[in-house]
Parts: sequence; structure tokens; C-alpha cells
Amino acid sequence: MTIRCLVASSQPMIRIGMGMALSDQLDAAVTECASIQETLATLDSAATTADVLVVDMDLEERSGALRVCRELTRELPVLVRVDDHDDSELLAALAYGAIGFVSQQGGIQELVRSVEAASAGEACVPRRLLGGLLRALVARQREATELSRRFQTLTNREREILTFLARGMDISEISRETVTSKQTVRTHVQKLITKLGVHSRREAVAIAIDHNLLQTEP
Amino acid sequence: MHFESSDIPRHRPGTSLEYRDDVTIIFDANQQELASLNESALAVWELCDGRTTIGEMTTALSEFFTDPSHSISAHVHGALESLVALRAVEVTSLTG
Repeated sequence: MTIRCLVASSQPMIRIGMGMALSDQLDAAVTECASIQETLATLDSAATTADVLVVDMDLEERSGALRVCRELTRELPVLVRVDDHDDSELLAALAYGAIGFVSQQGGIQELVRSVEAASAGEACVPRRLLGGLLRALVARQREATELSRRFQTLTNREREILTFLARGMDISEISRETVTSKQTVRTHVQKLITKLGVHSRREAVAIAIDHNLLQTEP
Repeated sequence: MHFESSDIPRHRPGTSLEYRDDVTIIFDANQQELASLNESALAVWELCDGRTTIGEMTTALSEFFTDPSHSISAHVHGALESLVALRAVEVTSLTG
């Protein structure tokens, strides 16, 4: 059965090269796209059906593939072509639903094997990328564990105030809401910033949201 | 062989990996072939970095392979037992 493959890269050499390799080696039906918008529009079009999307990590912009993965709403195996990218970018791609990667070093055989595997719904991570990805995953889990431990040291009042900050309330509004002085609120804010090991209110709110640490109803 | 989740595995000095077509081979310090690894054994090997505990390894692999931690835990322990028996990995116990 012919695999229908959409290949997306802003670099013509890469796009055309992958397209030719897949046509020749896999007898795939290849459609090429050169930008994020074109890729999403093509996938959205009723005229185009694809079994696999192979997208350059840096499609149009640094980590452009992440935007494509995030905005794709339909079930489609996405392989991200990577070069010298950070392991954290690779982790993000997996989190946004990529099924695997093809690496520049892997060559045509790896590309063909990965597209075949992806079209069958199998995850494919090149062996050379596995160690870095797993170590990045461990590092992220350690960070989450440490943050959770720090969050446990906040008092109920500090957690409540952090939740108000996340709702966009300023010191005056929190002062009125909690029926405490502005200075007391500022003291709580400073303490929670110190306990969380961050440098600003904004950073405290951002990591609390990222790690799902906030109360929904204070 | 019994491992605690706080134990920390590490590659024995001089061991190395070589990627061949479909297999990954571990060599000892004398370039003698010790074993070939499948993907999941390679994943365990890659985390034998002298910093990652067996507990952290199990959690990470459960997330990566989207498998329940109990089945991953059995796999991790089995793979480590084999790697230790091959003298490819040594395990440091923090509990004495």
C-alpha cells in the first residue's frame, strides 16, 4: 500500500531530498510544503490526505515544528527531523504529540524505516537520540519533584496569594480580598518567592501554572 | 540480586557502545563484545550514568514508553541484573 507522506521544510534541499528518497525507496506519494501555514492548510484541505507528516524541527522558524504539532488537531503521526537540537526541544515535540524523530546523521535508511514505522503508528526514536532524551526526561522529573517539595513548604495563605496573583490580581486587590494590609501581602509574596526559589512574582506564577500546583478555588 | 530504588547504576570504566545496522553492541575496556542490546535494554543502559537512581530510571521509562511502572520496574531490574552479570554496569547502594 502506498504511504502518503507530507514533507515540510523551509530548506529546499532538505525538502526535495527527503521527498525524492521517500518516493524512490518507499514508493511513497509525497506532498511538499515550505512553511508552517502551508503545512497546516494542506493538512486541513479535503483534497490532501496524509498517512505521515515529516516536518523539519526548524520549519520557517526555530522549533517551528512545535507549532505545527501543537496546532494539528487531527490524528496524524508526526515525525520531526532534527539536527543539533536541544534534548528539551525533542521532549517538547513528544509532549505535543510527535511520534518520533529522524536525525540528519541517520541517513535515508533511517528516514525510510521511521516513515514506515510511523505510518503503522509505531513510535520511533533513533538510538543515538535516546540517551539524551531520557536524561532530559529525568532532569525534568527531578525539577518537578524539587518544585513540588518547595511548594509544600508554602503556608495556606501563601498558596492562596499565589493563586490570586495567577488570576492577575495586584497587591491592592489581594489586600482587599484577604482583608489584610498591603504590607502583609507584600511580605507573603516575598516569602513565597524565596521559598519557591524564583526571582519574581511572574516567575512564581509561571512555574506554578506549568506544574499544575495552584488551587482552583482558594 | 536485589536493587533498591535509591541505588545508582553506572557504566563500568572503559565500556563503550557501537551502533550497527539493527543492533547496538556493548564493548568492555578491552574492546571485547559483551552483549547486544534491544531498544528497551539500551534505554536502561543510557540511564546508567552514575547520577540517576533506579527509581528515577523507572519513572522516566514509564513515561517514555507509556507503560505502567510495575511492568517497567520488572524490566529495569531484569536488564540491570544482566548488565551487572556481564560486568558492563556496577551499582552503588546509598543504603549501605
